[in-house]
Amino acid sequence: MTSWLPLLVLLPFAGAVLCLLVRGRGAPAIGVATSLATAALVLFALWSLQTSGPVRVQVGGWGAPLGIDLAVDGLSMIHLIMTAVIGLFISLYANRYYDGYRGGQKDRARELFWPFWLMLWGAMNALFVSADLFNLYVVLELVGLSAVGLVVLTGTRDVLGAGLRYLLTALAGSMCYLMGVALLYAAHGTLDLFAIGALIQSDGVSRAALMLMVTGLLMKTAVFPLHFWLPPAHASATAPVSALLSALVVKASFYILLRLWFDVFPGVTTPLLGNLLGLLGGGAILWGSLQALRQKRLKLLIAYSTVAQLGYLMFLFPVTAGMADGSSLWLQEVSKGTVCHVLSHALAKASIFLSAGLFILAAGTDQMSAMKGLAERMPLTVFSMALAAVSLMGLPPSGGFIAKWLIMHAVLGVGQWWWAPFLVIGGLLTAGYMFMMLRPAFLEPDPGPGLKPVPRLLEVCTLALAMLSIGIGISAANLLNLVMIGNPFSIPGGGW
Amino acid sequence: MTQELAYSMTGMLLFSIGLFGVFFVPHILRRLMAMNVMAVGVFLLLIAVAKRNADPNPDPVPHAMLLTGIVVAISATAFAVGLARKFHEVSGETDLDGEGP
Amino acid sequence: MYGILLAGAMAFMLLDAVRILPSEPSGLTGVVDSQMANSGVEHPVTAVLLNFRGYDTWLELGVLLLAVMGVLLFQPGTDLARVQPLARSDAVLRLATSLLLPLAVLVAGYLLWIGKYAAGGAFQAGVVLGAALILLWLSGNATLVILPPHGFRLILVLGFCAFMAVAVGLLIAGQGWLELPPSQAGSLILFIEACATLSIAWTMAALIIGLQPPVSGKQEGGP
Repeated sequence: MTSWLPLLVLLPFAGAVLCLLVRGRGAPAIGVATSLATAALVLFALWSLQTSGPVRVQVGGWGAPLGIDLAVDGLSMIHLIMTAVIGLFISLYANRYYDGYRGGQKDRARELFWPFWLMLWGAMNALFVSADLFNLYVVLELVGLSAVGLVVLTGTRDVLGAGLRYLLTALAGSMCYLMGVALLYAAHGTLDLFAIGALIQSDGVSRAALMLMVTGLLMKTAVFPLHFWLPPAHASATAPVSALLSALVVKASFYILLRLWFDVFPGVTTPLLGNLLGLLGGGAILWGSLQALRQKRLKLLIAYSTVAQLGYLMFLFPVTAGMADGSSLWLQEVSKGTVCHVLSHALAKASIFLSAGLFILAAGTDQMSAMKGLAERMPLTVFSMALAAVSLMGLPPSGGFIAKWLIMHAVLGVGQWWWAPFLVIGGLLTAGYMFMMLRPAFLEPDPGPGLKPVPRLLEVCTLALAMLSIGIGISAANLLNLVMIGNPFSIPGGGW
Repeated sequence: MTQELAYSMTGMLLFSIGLFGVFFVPHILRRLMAMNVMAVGVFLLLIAVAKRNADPNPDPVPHAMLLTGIVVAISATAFAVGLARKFHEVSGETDLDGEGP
Repeated sequence: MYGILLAGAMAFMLLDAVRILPSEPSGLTGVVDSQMANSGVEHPVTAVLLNFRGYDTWLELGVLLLAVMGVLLFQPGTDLARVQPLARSDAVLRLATSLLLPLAVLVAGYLLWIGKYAAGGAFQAGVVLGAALILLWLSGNATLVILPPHGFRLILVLGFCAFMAVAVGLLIAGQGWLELPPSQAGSLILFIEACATLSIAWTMAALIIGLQPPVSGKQEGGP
């Protein structure tokens, strides 16, 4: 039975519409209920995938190339689970967060967070299961518009400027992507991702399409030097939104990039392009970390940390570019490492943004100088921050450690030792800005107005995410076996 | 030069001009217009692709993509104009400060 | 300066790409034609939009919904109830509206119906109807345009929900995901399109009217 697949999209969308229709106080209750139901559905989907293998569904019963096909394999599933787990905790958190929030348009933010967030959730689920290039374009726009809507909820000058910049970049990115789709359709007469992958040859059209789609998706993923929109947007949004954006939304466009790289363009990619992408990754790590070290505001530091951490995802490309043998050990290894990094960064970053939200609720500011004495007054929050920091730095036994270990192993394994210094320096710089962030928390508190108490539930959600980011390091083997269902990292015509 | 090639080449030029505008022009409305110019570039290519056929009926799939694309572009533009108006109301500015990229 | 270079390089790459595009058709005209009999409509573009790739059109209605939510985000109450009315009583505009309004409704209905056979359909009909609503509002008759909040939100989500209702109904009836049975496809498509027309009309009107400043100024905004 695959009836769970349409429900993955239907359920959040239905919740969003209900939240929109039931005004005021009802929206949060419906929102939380929908989140719980969606998370349960994803669990069921996981069970179904493990028992009966990869799924392919023809929407409308037409089948590609006439209709739209949906496909779920391990890679899709791990992203669905990531969204469900993080989304559920953020939903629980957001419900109480907006009650204590003291910024502008409080009531509106509390009410309208839900329809936008549930639309975003449904759109991300639709994205992870789609196997159709044009369908992915429409879904990308849904993701983009709902994410921007979430950023601008409070309507202040900062969020409006950041939201506009984000929107313009996202739109330019999806136009680049759409141009690539149009070129591929013109050349091959189908929009099915896998069908195009089987037909594609390395000519001017496919190279142009590859360049356009990669550029567009890099804009949306905020990879250096196209990251300029991310820090203001992620830093000025409300905390639950920052967590959603940094943990999930940038990973959605990266997921499409992975799909394109392995399923559409394997015969077109060249080592030159791979190395260029790797170089962008290295640049992201250095630039993002150095900027993070310069920040005085907590949420800006965390946002620049996202810019840096996204860099690690790029080393997959030089390792796998132009690889003829799809079953290569290193290809599997770097792919597993990259997925592991996606997961552990998502969990750690969501947790750390939620911690920042708790600090803002308590102190009314996110200046790091106001964090003095926080370890004594909000020990649970600081503990969550420290746990998430361990994962971001890549210390054992966290998920971040496994991820960086696998990536390092693979780049050395294929002899591209020049990426290794970036990984090492990146780890050191991460440690630097994370200690800089945590240091004031352990100083003697300033005498002055105390902190407002924060609801215990919020601290528990934050801690749970931080512990999960460590925990996936311990159960990494199981998770990474799950990713390999349906063999998503393979070169068509190569390994299998 | 065939008619389709003229359409698609114009589309490509418009797309590139629009891409330049989105990133290198400061005024918000102009950037938004530039995004729409990019969109028109894509739409011209889709029209040309649909017409390549010897059949008197053009290929309906690019037409459907084009119609969907227009609605998406209109929606996004309206949203952006709404944001820009509010931004102008709150800040009095027409440019986004701290130019990217 | 380097922006012009980048745009130039992009143009060069793209022009080179379209130059070598295959000129013989590799599209889906034939596949669409072969399935037209099962689509429930007679116009291929409508068949693609509402049936073969109806999933995209559903999501596209979602994009439209998000856009109008985004615009209304800055109206108090996130609807049009407190929008500043236009204090305009232009006799020519009123006369033009009273003449054009019935015509617009008629044209919208025709466009909706003709979509089954020729170019037309929900979007064209919705836009015409939306223009009529804006005209009404401009001439000072806002009651029909600015519905009470609940009704207004209901009409905005109507098209998106109609698609969803059809999809759920079909799932319950044991059909596949958005699989319209050929015998009922025509009427289901008409139902979806009629609902979508209303949504699109009010959405278009709201996108314009929602940009007006609210009556009571900005007492809610600001930190």
